Amino acid sequence: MRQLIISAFIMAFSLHAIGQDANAILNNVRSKFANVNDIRCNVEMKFDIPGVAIDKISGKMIYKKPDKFRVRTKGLIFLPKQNPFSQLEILDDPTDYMAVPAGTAVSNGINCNIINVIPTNGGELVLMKLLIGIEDGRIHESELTLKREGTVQYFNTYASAEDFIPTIMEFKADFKRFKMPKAISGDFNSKPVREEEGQSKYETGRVKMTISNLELNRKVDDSEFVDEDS
Amino acid sequence: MWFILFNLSTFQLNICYVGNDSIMKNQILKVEALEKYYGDFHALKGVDMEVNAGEIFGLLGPNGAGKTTMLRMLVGLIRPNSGKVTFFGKHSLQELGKVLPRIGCIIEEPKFYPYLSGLTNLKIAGKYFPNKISDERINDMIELVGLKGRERDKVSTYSQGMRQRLGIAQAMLNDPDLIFLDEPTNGLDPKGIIELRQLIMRLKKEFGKTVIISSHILSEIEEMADSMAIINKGVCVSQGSVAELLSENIVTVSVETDDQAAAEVILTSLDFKPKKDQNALVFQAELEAIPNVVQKLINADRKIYRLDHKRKLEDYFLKLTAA
Amino acid sequence: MIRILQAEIIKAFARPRSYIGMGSIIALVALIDVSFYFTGEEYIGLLFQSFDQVFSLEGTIINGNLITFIILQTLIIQLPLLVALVTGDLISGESAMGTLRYALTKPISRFKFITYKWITAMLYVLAILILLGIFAYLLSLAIFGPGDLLVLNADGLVVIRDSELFWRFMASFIFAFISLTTVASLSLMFSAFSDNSVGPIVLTMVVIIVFTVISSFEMSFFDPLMPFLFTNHMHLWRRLFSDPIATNEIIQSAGVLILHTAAFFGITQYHFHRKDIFQ
Repeated sequence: MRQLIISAFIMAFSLHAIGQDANAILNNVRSKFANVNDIRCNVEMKFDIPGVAIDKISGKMIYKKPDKFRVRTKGLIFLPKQNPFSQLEILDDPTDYMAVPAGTAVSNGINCNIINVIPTNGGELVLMKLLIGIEDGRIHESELTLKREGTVQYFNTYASAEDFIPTIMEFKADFKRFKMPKAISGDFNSKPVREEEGQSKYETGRVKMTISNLELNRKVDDSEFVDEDS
Repeated sequence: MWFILFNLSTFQLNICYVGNDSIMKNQILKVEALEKYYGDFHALKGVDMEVNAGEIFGLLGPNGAGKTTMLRMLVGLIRPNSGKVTFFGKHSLQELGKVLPRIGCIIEEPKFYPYLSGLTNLKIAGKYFPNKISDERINDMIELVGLKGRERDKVSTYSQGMRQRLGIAQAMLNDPDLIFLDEPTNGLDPKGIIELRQLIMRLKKEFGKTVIISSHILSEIEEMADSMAIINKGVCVSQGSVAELLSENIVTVSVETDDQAAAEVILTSLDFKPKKDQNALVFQAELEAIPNVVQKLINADRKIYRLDHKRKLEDYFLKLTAA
Repeated sequence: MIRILQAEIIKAFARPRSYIGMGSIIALVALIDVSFYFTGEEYIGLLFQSFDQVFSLEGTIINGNLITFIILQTLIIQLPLLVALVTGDLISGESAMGTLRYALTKPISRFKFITYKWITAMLYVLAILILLGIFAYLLSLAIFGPGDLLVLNADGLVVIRDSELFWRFMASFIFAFISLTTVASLSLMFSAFSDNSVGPIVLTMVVIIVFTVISSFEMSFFDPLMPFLFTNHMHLWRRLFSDPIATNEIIQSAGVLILHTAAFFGITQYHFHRKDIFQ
């Protein structure tokens, strides 16, 4: 991690001029998000988490700046700890980070600039890598390296050229394989899980959120984020 | 006895012999060569026994003689190793299903569910019979055994005598033809013994039941039984009517006179073998010989202070079982 | 026939010990409900520590369905013991009390006698499960409300939607009935071999505890033993809460349990038919 930070700093200083271009790209992204105060939409969630069997479920998703996020469903869901709009939240204050361009890449068939965002405020985020469409200036992919949670990724798909909020947001993260002693789980019939030598203890989980009926700036009340039973 | 039978359908003339027993007496139970082993222990060594309808039959024997084993076999609790049992002249031990509805029994001490009332216990017992035992019949039996008023009390509150009577009531529920009572007076106080004895006599006299009583209390059998069998060490050593068996009995006579030495001479001259037992002379004699003994002593001017003889069955029993 | 069954039911259900099991179930269910009501979040938090790093689980985790599942899971080890307390005493208890010889001198074959005892044992199992159903399922739903069920397995989690749960619980109660029938038959078999009422109960408990302990060992040494431990099949009710449902596995285990029941019943009949009644 430390090496990554050091190399990022080196890159940042050596590519100062190009960095100014990167800031411009990020400013473009930020300006589109600046007009959005809150979001309300329907969401369908699909889960692909190793060791977790859970059906897809539909519900309502609400978001309010600066960082209020909630998905309401009739059942249980697994949510990424990092809410899907956290990349945009980070970009909100340009003094909190340093932008470093890292070339280009293709994400989902779209040519993108790679911008590394290095926070300067010493928060939870270590590094954020954004793949921003060269043509449309929208975030198509992001990779956040966090101090406690490790690396998490978001893949965004947009239904039309005008959309700024993604229609599909796919979250991907590595997590430690779930394992519990039989005596605690009470699951005496499961085949013993025995790790093979060299096998990673980590597995990749995905949560796909498909958004519909998007409503922006409908003055979502703070009370909507509060638990009903609290 | 010879019979000549003419069969109308076949126009055949049949001449046959029917055993006296079956004709003269209505045989209700016949046991032949019944044997039982418990591992190496030979508990019953080929017991034969016959019981006639309407009689009280005493099954005598010292403790451990095999009486209870025998009774348990007759009601299907224990399987014999060999032998034959015939109930009511036709059913074998393998047909107990047909026999048991006509049998009532108390095997050893009667046991009940102590947490239930006497009435419920009887109702439960009644449910095992193929024909429904009516509430009226149950009440009649409660009355018969003198438990009216206590029938709704838990059995755990009953005295030994009451349990014994409740046992009789459950044995009588199905109006059986044959009743087995194993040591029925065990644990009863004298009053209870008398009451139970009277009840058993009623069963025979008023209801015409055949009762087989196993006991080691000789007076009980002597007083009640018409017939008896004595079992000793798994063998039936004697069987017959009580009157017949005891008539051939020799009693032990004990006599005290004013001159025991002279009396001894007289008794010896009569071919008795008197022995001194404290102040008395004791000897074996037939019952009929006693008046002659008295006569001889009086003729010899002896004053007789005391002359008695021990109970007959007791002697007979001891004689048979001593060996 | 019904009259004999009535007699057996009166005998079994009039005994105070028949209600020990039922009382224990009510007490345990109440305890679990109360403890989850006050400290449930803490308990769930501990279980999900490893997941908590990346994902957060949203929604009402602690609900009536989860509590019912936890109660089932907890009691599935205890229920056989409670059942054995009564069924292990059905024959030997009568033998010890001396009432067996009275019942058997009535015109009822030994085959029928054992069959009715067995039916009585089944009815007791049914009564226990109905009681558990009412208290665990209905009471927990009343207190905590409905919701999706989160099932913790040794190697993962399963979330089952609320709409799917009623029939799964019903099926698991049926499976529990089959399992407990096996236990009841086992204890009845021991009961037929014994003339004292404590022996068969203790023996059944020992068998269940030893088998369950072996089942819970995660050591390859015991792997070959697993299919032969009937208690291992008893835990298969959990597969009703897997996704997809392991239907074949469940049917197979139910079949194995039924075969065990039939074997225990057969041995009981064979032995009892030849048994001399001394008590």
